[in-house]
Amino acid sequence: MTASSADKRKADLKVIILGDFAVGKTSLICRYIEGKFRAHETTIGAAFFLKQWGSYNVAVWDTAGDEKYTGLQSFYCRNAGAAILAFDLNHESSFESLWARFLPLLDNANEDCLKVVVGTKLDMLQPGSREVTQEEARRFAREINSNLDQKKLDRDPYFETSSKTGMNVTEMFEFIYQYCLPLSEDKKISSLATKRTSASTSTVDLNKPAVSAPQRTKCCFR
Amino acid sequence: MAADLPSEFDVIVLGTGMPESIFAAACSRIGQTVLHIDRNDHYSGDWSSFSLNGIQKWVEQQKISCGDDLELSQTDEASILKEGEYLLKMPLKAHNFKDIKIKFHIEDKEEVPTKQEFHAQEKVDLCFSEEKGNPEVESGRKDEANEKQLENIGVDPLPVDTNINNNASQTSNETQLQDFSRDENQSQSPTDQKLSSDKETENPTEAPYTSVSVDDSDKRTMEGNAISSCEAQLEIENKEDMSSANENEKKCKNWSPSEIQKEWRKFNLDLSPKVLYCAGDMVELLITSDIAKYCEFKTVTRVLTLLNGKLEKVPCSRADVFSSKLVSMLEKRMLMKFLTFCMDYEKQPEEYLEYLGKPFSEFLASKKLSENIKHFVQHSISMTTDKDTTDEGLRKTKKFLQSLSRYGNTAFLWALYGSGELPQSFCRMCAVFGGVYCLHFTASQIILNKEGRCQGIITTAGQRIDCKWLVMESSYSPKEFVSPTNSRYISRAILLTDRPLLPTDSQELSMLCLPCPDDPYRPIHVLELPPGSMAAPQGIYVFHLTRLAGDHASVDDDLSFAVKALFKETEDDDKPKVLWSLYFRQNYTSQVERCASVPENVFLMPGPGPEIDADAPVHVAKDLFHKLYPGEEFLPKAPNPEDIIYIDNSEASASGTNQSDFKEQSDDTGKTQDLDASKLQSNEVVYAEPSSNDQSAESNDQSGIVIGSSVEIKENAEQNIVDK
Repeated sequence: MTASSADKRKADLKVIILGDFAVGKTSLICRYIEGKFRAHETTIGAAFFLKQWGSYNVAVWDTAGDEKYTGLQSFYCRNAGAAILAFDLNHESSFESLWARFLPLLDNANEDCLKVVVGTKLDMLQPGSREVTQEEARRFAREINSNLDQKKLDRDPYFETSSKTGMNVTEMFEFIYQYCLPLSEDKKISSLATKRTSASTSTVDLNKPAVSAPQRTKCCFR
Repeated sequence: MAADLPSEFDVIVLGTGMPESIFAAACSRIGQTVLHIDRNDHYSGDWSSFSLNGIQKWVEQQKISCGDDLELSQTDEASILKEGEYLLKMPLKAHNFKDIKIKFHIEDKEEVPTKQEFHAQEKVDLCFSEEKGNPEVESGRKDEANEKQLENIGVDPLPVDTNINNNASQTSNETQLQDFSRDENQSQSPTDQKLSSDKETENPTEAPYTSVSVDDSDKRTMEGNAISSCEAQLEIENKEDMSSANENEKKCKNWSPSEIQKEWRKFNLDLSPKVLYCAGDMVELLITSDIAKYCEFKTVTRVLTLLNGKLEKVPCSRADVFSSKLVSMLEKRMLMKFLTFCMDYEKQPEEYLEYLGKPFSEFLASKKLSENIKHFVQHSISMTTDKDTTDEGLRKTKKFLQSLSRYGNTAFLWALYGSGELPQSFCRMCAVFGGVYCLHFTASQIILNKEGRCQGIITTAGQRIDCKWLVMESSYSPKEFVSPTNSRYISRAILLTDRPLLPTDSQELSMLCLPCPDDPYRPIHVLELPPGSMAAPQGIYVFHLTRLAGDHASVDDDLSFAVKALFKETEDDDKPKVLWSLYFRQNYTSQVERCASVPENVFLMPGPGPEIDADAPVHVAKDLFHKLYPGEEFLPKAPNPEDIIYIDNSEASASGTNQSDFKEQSDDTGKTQDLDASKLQSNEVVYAEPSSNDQSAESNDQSGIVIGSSVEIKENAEQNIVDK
């Protein structure tokens, strides 16, 4: 096998982002992936990103603009290991949507999916414009993750970010990885075996096809 | 929320079924603005796959008479309509299903649920109150009483630790202790299982099986070539199943309704289960459009047949034929010779010319095939009836054979999580290219101008939206547009059982075509889905029965032959026991005839038909697309925008608007980073889940190395048909 095919490994973690239209989901992801702020009109064309974190491949899925009118496909959330629930700190309704619209969609995510609540557009906060208090968002984040192993959560899964300044963006993704991905290689093997969330490359190697299989499937009619 | 849609689109598509979704994606792909609407609150319409709760809710919704669940805003027609325009009412609700019967065939054991289980139970009861006197509802009450009792004893019902909880349950309630010991495998006791499913995830997969994901990367051709004649796009992953010994010991679980209901999320039950021919048009389209990356597939691992009252595996591949004990040496040669002929029958017209237009069975008889071989070819390979002509039979046989060696031992693929995933993946493609989606929303009226041309629709939110083309699933159309003649029904059953059809070490995904004595022209198609296909939780098998409905028989009558032949009738036979069933009849409008009254810019799409495969909707969508957009390419490969890794910022922002830039860049990045969703998921699939949490790291690791073979579909010029 060539080196390039070895690189072509499966994602160890699927991270999805959910949230109302125009809360800045794509900007948040682009800030993280590109390290730069881009004010996006809508999410057209690019809706999937790959990030390498240490030895891991992380797939970051963005919505395709289809959340605007209740159109997210159920398979968007399928097998997600972490979900970013984004809302605009300046709009309370976007915070309420997380609970009303997007939490139910996470039925299809992993049962131990980490749900990170993220308030966006921190830079746009004016005195008096904040509509969601830190305390209520923090409480919400705690509640929706109460099924998880609390010992592993060293803080509330709540972040206030600015995609414009980059504030807390990397920190938020780091937090997800620290939680979802085991740190050392040794741990990786054992932990991934028990956790299908981050299906591993260490046990199943697509690049080493078994030689016997093709003979079995080989057809005589050709 | 959907009241503020743009007021104009190039195309409005009503219904998110298979052909509509393919068509919508194709339009969006070439830059047309697309509004795609579904009156249901789920994707895929009548092609959908549901969780257990989902399908129970669906049954309820079918009982609602007419779109009561849709809010309808009143509109001031005069203010909306232009001169000469008039409105036609559209139905808010389809009536595609009837004779729906849903039932548990087992009774609840008495048991004390833990608190978490109890929560699940509450949800269950909500959706279960549908039928009066359902044992489930009563058991819910019982559970409530039991839980109180549990609390009185002073035991914390929340599992603190597996063992503690286990002990607590056992000491606090004799009944549950008995329940536990009834489970033949202790590690499968409800508590353990529940805990492990909490900590781990979805469906564990066990035993060797084949997982296929479709991918187009050229990078893998190396492996492909190594693999040989079996075509370059095959990538096979075959790992020893270390845990198989362990799995073999597992006996069938004694399920209760509440235990099944508790696992409701792990079911993916199809309204219209469709397999894909490995070399069929759907698979081609998935590859050429690159939509395959959204889905995962498994190969159907075996084709079964009922031969002299016994279930037998049909030998399809060379290996099968030679290892089969069913056929004599003579028959082996006979079968091989015949199938080799069928592979390119067109080259030897003299062999079959005189039978053109005559039944395929007559042609088979003329070939002096033995009864067994004839049976295999007719019922399992070509899946024809005595009515089908020789041309049809030969065509189908060839299609089967072409598909045969492409990804696995049989000619078919099954979409993981159900065939309802397929329309969704086309919808995602449509959305990625700017298609606008609205669910639980529809058009209440169609606007026509004085020439009878469609100008647009009025939505249930009262908004006028104009369009150039209006395409809809036929049940959305005003009754004026539909000719009343073509109403046929399909009889369907979805059965959940406690074990597979034939005892097996691995998870077999089987197909079976059963000719029925009452009417051999309407065979019953049976599809068996093991837990590894993500159709059901561990220990439960899903069976889909499909048959064209008879004129007078009930849905049970239509399918009773298969039910009697395949499933448990008495306590002592070891056939699969039916735990739960859903029967229904589905209106089938495959042949949508175009009425003269249909406006020239309005098109109707058929719902799911009785075919076992999903190639027909591809044709329907493609034909319509070419009709509306002559010269445009039908779902060309996307510039793979979802795989783009931004390397350089300036380049990246340029590519956001320019597709050709896009392509270059994605090709570029593709070399190093071409991971895609399908791989993420296929990886998920190949994981075996350890049956218990307590296993050491090593043993977990071992059970992780499952798998028969995992195959990747690749695009490759050579993949189509390889000559001998």
